[in-house]
Amino acid sequence: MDIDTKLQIAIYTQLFVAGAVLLAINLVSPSQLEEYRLWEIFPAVLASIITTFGLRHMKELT
Amino acid sequence: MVLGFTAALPVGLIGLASILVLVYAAEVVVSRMQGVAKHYGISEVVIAMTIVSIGTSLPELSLHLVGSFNILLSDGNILSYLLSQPASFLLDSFGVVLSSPESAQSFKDVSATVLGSNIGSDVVQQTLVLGLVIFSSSLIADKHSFNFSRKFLIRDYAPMMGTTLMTLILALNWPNVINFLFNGGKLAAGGTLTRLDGLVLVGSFVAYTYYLYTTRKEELAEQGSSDPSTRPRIDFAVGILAMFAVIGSAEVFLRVVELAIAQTGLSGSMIGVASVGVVSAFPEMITAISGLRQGSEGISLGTLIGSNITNPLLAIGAGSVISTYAVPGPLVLWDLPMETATAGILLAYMFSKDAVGDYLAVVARGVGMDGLADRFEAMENRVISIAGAGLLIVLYFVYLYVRFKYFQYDFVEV
Repeated sequence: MDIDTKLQIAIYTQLFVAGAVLLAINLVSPSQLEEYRLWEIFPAVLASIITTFGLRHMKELT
Repeated sequence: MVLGFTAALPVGLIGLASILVLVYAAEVVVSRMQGVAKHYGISEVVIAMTIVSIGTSLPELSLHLVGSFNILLSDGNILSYLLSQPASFLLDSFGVVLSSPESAQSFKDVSATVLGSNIGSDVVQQTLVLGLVIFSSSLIADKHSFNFSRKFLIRDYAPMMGTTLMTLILALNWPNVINFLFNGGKLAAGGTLTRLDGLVLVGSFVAYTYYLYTTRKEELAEQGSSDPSTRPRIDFAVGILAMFAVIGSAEVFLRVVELAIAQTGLSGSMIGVASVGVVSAFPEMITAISGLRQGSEGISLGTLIGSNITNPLLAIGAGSVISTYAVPGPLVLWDLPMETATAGILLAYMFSKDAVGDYLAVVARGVGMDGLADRFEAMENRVISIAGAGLLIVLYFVYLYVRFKYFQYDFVEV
């Protein structure tokens, strides 16, 4: 398996884990998630995207 | 009170001694453990990726871990918090469960000190130390310029800029910044590094390390090459003792800073930037210069820049996962933007210097300065001159001046 495929798997795993955690919290205590807005999640998502795309482009450029 | 002292002079001396022990003991840990690992047949690649990579950031890392555990154990019941409010545990500042004013203040002070030390150390390395390394390297080779390899710029320097940018994005108080831009009001740009942010940073460190492991074995092996230990048990014991010295000195240093903040009113991040930030850059500088003397520029710069990737990703990441951090304003308003911009401009310049030179040559010829035009035309990509290195060194002092003059307070009440 090449590094690109592994990185893709890594992104989907990250998204899946993040989604699963939020879903689990929502099931246990829905009111907790209602207090949070997008800006508390979005920097983390943005930073993850930077890492993943950075690593993919590093491979392309070298 | 620190070790029974409260007066400024002894406490100051204890603080200075603790930084020196922190940095020197970390060096001992790395060298001894490298020898021991080599003795037991662990490959040079693995040694480079674990002991060397983490070891060069050990002073910052241990400061973060000790500080974070201090915050975690200061107040509140962590287990009941985790079980009763998992979303808050993941997405909020730990400050929300700290009930006593002392522990809330300590949370801010420790956060500011460890983050200031970490980012301060990165700024010193990316400006002053990098400038000195390029300068010395050019002098040793008797040249007027220094040639970066394309591989280094893409695989080391660009990720370093990426980590700084990521830290900035995660550390900003987005609602406040957006509100300030559109509605005015008070700017309190320092946000919170939450546990989710910490997980992203540590996850990125693991991904980057894995990427290097799969694609760059030979160079990594060079970084991990060391003589095997002839007395592995003694070296292991000395390494463990030095590790205790690292942890102990980190604890003492944080107490000194808390006392200094209370007595002088200086901000924690400024103390971190000016003390640990400077001293903890020394080992990288010594490693880099000694690498140059042995003719291995790649290793010198690799160690220097590699430590700037480990510092934010692993040290800040792990600390945030443990305790979360309150981010001081100057960090996101000056330190991190200045660091990102310097790296971004240098990177863009290195890859477009040829084109910039040709453009300037046309302008110079247009005004009849042919000599200057010839020099512009001779400009090549990925080459930095001694003057450029000097500019990096000057930039460090500009950074310090602005930091001390305009960014004196860590936290602004909105």
